Amino acid sequence: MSAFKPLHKPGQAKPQVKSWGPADAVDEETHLTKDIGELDRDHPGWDRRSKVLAARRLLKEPGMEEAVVRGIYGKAIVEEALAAEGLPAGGLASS
Amino acid sequence: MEDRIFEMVQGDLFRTPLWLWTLPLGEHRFVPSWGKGTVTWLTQKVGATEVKLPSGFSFWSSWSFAVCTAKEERSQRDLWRALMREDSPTPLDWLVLLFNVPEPCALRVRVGKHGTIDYRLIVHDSDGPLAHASREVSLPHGQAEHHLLTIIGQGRGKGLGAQIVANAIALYRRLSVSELYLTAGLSAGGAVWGKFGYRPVDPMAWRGVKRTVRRRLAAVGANDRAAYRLRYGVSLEKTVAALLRLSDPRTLWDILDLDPDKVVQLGGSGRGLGGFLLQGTRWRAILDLQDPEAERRLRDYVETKIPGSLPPGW
Repeated sequence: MSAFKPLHKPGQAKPQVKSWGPADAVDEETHLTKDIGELDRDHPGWDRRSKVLAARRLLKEPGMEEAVVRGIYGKAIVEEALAAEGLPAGGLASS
Repeated sequence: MEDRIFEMVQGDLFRTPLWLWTLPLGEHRFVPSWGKGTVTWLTQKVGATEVKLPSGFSFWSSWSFAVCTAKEERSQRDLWRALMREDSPTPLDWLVLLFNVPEPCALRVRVGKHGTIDYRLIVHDSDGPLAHASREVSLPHGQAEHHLLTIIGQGRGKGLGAQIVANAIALYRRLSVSELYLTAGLSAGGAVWGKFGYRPVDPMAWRGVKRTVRRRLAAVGANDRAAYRLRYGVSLEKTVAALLRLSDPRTLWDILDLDPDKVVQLGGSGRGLGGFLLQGTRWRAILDLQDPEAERRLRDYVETKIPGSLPPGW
């Protein structure tokens, strides 16, 4: 005899996973929190922020050349990273 | 009334084969290609026995594929109550681990005596098993160890793995667990987990990865090297050498991100350059949710992999 009882008998509704955030912070349709669901999606480049962060980290490494970082993250992301660091394009030495 | 909390989350029994609990040895990287068929056949033959599992949340005591006796069930409930505070996630909250995954699926939970919780996730659909995950959470340390995540046959390539990881993160945030550990490299994991924001746990582990990357780099053909240089204006050798000089374990992510314009063809294999270079690496990995870059990398990847399917709590 099983120690377990059926969760829901035929005809009964299944229990729903409840949200633990503030009720108005969750989009009922997508279940995305507004933080990443709406605000981020409205922001251009929302899906490549990690790449910009990584490019900024690399650009700060001593001796790192901008051309090398471009080969990893591409021109657009490197330019965004340089701007975030307050440097002009070509602001790091290349050889 | 309190016991009703546990009963609410237990579902109907469903059948699942025992081989799900054995490592898919046939696909293990240490099994030579000529032996994969035999090993897979043996594993499935031995594990052909079916067991019955309750869908939803349920406790286990000795074996995660065995149903608890009434005594074991009482003991597990007592341990759970002793461990959880009033505002701790309830068993119903733990069902977030099953968010947006096919059914039936079982969440098997075992509470240890020192604040640890082992859990297994067994995901099925009407055609059979799709995934098996094995994890251990240490509440006092705020850490989780992800022992194994196996995505089976037709479950692959549909974002099921990303969904399972995303669901776990939602629960861990509630449990104040911020450090996730695993050993990457059981099969293709060495080239995969970095996409989720995992990195080598320390510079020593990163050094081990570097050796393999150097070896794999030598296997990149001349045409691919020329294409890389033409596109980016810098040689692939120089780029990789610059990365391998760094001692920061997060540099593994930069290896994965190499060649954003995908000009390197690798013989038409369809694989990315970063994944190619990291293939065959084995490293102790950490996902540090308090590191903004790791957290953002995880979000970007999961959001791209399973758009619109993030569980509540993200």
